[in-house]
Amino acid sequence: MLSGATLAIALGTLISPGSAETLDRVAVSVGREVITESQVILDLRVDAFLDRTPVDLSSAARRKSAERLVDQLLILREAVDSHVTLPSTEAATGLVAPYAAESSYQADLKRYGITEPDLAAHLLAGLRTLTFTDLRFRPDVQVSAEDIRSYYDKLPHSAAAPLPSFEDSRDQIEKLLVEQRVLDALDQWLAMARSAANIRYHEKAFE
Amino acid sequence: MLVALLAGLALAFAPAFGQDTPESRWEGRPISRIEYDPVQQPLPLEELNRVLPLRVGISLRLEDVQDAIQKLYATGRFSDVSIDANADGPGVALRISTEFNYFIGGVNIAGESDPPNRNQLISASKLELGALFVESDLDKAIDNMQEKLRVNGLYNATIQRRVDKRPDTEEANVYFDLDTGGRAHFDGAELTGQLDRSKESAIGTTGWHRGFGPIRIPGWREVTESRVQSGVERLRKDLQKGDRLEAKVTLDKLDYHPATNTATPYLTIDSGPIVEVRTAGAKVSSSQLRDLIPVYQERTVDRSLLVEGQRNLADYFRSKGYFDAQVDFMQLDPAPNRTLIEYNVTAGERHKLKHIEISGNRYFDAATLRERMYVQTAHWLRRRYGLFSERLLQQDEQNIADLYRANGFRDVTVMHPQIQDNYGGESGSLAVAIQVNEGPQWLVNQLVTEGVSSADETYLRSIVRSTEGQPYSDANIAADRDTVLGYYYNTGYPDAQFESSVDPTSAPYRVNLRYRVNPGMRQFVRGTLVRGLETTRPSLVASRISVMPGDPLSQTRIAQSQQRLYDLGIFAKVETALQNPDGQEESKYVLFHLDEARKYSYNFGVGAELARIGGSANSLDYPAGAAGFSPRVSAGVSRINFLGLGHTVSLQTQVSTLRQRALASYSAPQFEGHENLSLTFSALFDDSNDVRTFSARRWEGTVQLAQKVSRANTFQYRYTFRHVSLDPNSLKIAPQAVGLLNQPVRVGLIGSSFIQDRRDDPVNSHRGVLNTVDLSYAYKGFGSETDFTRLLVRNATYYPIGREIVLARSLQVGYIQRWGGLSEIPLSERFYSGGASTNRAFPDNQAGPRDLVTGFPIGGSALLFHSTELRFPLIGDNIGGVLFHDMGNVYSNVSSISFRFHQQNLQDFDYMVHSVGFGIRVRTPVGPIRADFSYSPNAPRFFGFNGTFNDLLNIPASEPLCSLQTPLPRCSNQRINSFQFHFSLGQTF
Repeated sequence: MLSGATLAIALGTLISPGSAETLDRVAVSVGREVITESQVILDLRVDAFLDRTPVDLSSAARRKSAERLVDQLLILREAVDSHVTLPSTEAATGLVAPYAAESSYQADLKRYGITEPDLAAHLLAGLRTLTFTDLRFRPDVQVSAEDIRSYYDKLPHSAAAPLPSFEDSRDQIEKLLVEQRVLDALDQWLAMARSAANIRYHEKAFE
Repeated sequence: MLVALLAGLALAFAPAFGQDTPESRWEGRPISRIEYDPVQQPLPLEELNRVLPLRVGISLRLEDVQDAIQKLYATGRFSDVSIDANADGPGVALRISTEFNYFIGGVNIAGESDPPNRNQLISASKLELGALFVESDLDKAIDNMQEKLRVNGLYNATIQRRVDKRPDTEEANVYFDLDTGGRAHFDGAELTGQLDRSKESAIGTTGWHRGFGPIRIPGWREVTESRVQSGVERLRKDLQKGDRLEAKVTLDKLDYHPATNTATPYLTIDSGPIVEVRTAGAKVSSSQLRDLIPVYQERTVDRSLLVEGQRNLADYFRSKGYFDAQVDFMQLDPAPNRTLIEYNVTAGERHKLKHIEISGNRYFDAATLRERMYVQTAHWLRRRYGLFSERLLQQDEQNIADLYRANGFRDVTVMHPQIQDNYGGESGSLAVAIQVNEGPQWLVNQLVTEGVSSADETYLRSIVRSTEGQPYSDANIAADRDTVLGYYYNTGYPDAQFESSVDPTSAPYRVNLRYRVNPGMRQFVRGTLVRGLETTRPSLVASRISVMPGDPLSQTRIAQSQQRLYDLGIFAKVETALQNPDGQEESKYVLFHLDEARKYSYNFGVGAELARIGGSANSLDYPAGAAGFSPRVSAGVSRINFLGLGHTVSLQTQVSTLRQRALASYSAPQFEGHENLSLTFSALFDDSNDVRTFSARRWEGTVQLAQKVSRANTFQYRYTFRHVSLDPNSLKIAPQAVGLLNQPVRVGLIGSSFIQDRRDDPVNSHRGVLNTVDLSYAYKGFGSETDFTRLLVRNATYYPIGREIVLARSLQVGYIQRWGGLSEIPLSERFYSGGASTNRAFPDNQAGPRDLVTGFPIGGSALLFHSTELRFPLIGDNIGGVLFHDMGNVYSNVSSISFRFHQQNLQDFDYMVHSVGFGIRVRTPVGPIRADFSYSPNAPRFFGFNGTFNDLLNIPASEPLCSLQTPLPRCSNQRINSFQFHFSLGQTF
């Protein structure tokens, strides 16, 4: 009897007949497309799962997540428009596999309030973004020998911690510079795409 | 148990790990109710139910909630959407809360001072009809309009805004009220840079100072955008005289001085080098050189323009018969600030293209192919050497090949194996042989359509080109694509897509075609929203709009409605748009935003008539007219959209030494909503002596209903009542006839006309036919003093001969039959004719019977005229020539109509007068200007009276006036000059 009453009180607290609960709302609109509040929260849950950290649903975290989702939407929209071939949904299986191998996998999913398809979709979206970035921006990036030399010369060093030789460092520096310039190009493109898109944040979703 | 429960609750209240989710509380519960907040939504409930995945009775899935929000937002109708859940027993009640978007229903401007005009300001606001209304855009719109006002000198203008929102249609009508203040004046100009003249002279060139031409008067003109630009442009053009082709004038700023409300333009001037262009090896006039060398037009010197000039020069010489002409050029800088461009022309031998031979063509005949060719053989009048160059020939070969390919000859080749010189043994004559190798014709074996309903397929198959057995070509497929998409776009599928593919078949030169159509979502008309009306009655506009609620959305219908509204002639602008154009919704509002035109328009004209209209009004000299000059002034005012009905009231007046005339009219076009009917009431006062025999004063009222029964055929029905009185002092006829003919006459008649116009171009016809029949009946029951019928029939036909020559002919027959009332047909009701548009043997209105004593025309009761013209090109494309033959006359009555060539005596006018001649036509935007010179071998001779009208009256009644038998000194033998000259506007017929 006690347990029944306690349960009723507990559920009553959760679902009070008089008060409505917002199931979902528009968080950000990008033109005619929207990212809903539930998508933002799910993104934060999956991120927290991947990082094995508590879920942060604060206003700042929501805003950051929303911005990331906007970038993702712009990139995927551009990929479709420019007919870039992106990884198919089958690729998600391989992405999930390392996490699924862990013994606490199912319990962790439950604990974070997400499902395996949520995780797979999140990882796949990330992979697609990376693939698009690589295909779109990497071919245009040029790194000259002078750039590598200049970067090497500016590296801090001391007698106590001498630098490896230039020849030994060349490939690593070149890779680093390419990555840096690809990211710069992506940032530039995103800034342009954001200014061209009609993006509106709906503040209620971030309160 | 309690421990387990608390442990469970602990998990439930563990937000740090996120297990407390709406899914856990609501997912799977049955939806018991769905309600909207606010209850009244912009989309119909049925459409919402169709679009949304949420239904009463099904289990709630948060994925569906997210999808519902996406779908609602995608309609474009909402600026915000949220969905709340509320426990409802075991189920869940959903509340969908929305905030509406608003769309621009119209931008309205008041208080403007042209320039800028209303439309320029609306355009500057960048607020598009039907687009999403964003409050912050209004600030940008005002900034943009302020800028537009400033560049037009309205620096102190203020703009107040007001937005009228209509939640039921989600319209936001934007109103801008302007107080423009005074327009600034120029107060001089600041010039920097090289200047080869005085500052005053340069400023004078701009036209910013007040004055008339070179005469200046104190003060400066008002600042307007066009005046600033034209001033800069004038100065630049002036500086560019003297071969400074690259001279530049840049407007740096307009410096405004609020204290004086004046503005100073700051100009930077760069005179640039002197650029001299000349030719060596052949002469080209400087004006021709300016046309051919694009550095003159582009005002800059660069290699691409010089190469283009080289090509133009070569083409110019080739068009003159120097088919081997070669041109090269060099650019030199002989002195500082000086550039010399010299084109070296090697003209070579002059040729004449005498013959073009086309062989190998079976599918198309040579004439069809020749029509598509630029290369032309020599013609004695227009192109003495023909038109030929290697480039033109290659272009022609390409055109011929394209024609074949469009008809399935995919493997066609067209070439010219040789160009024969000294053709026919004539030195310099060329012949071109074009060899066509058609190859096999590819045909469509089977056409398969996908994605098309069976009803649509039947129709589409009837309109596409590439059906079974038809030629297979890319051009036909492209045309089919346009046809198919056009059909879908106009039946409510704005997002329709079309793809085509080709499958091979076993049969040679046959293909199977596959057309795939994806119609997309069908869209319908939710309603029409008409805005912007001030005085026009909404019912008038509604009757012109054929877009109805529930119809499939059709761009063609919207455009037709727009055209019908323009056809009313009362709107300066008819803007149409879809509300929320990109929104994914099933039905949309169609917006019509109308800008009413100015109510009053005025016209004023000054002109003169120079013709055989001279001779004193009181003397009997020159019965056939002397060369005379008549200045003319005309003025008019029109009030359109009278009473908001689209009707027009107008008054047109004309005053000249020959005529004073005032015409007031009231016209109702598209009468009572019928596009093919128009009703006109008119009242006319006319005091004229264009017929030299008398001056007539006419008061006339007419009501006419015109009915257009088809594109070519029109009927007119009318009732006319007029009162005509002749000035007895102006009559130049024998005294015996005066009493009979000069009495005032009242005529009431009903009439009807039929007009059939099948000409290709009414202004300058090349083919077709024009028939008119005009029949009227004057009867005492209609208020007439005299009873008669009048019939006038005209038939004109036009036949093209080849591409450029037209044979045109016209026949006119007229007949007046008196039935009762006055004993004679009154002078003013008779036929007067002859002149530029009937028989050019006569001056205007000089044909037909004449007074037997004075020789002045007295009109007739019948007429017959026939004209034949051969119209041909003469010089270039704009000057044509005409050879003509006119015959005919006005006859005393229908039984007197005669084809007789010879005039029997000086009192015989019932014979056929002939004239032949030559005319020139100069093409202009308002139609051809016409000059005709005619010679008549049998121009009429007649008696004229030597003396004044008083002399005529003083002749005793017992004496004969003029006699064929007995020559009298008071009667002289006169004739209409055999040579006549006519100058007018438009073709003869």
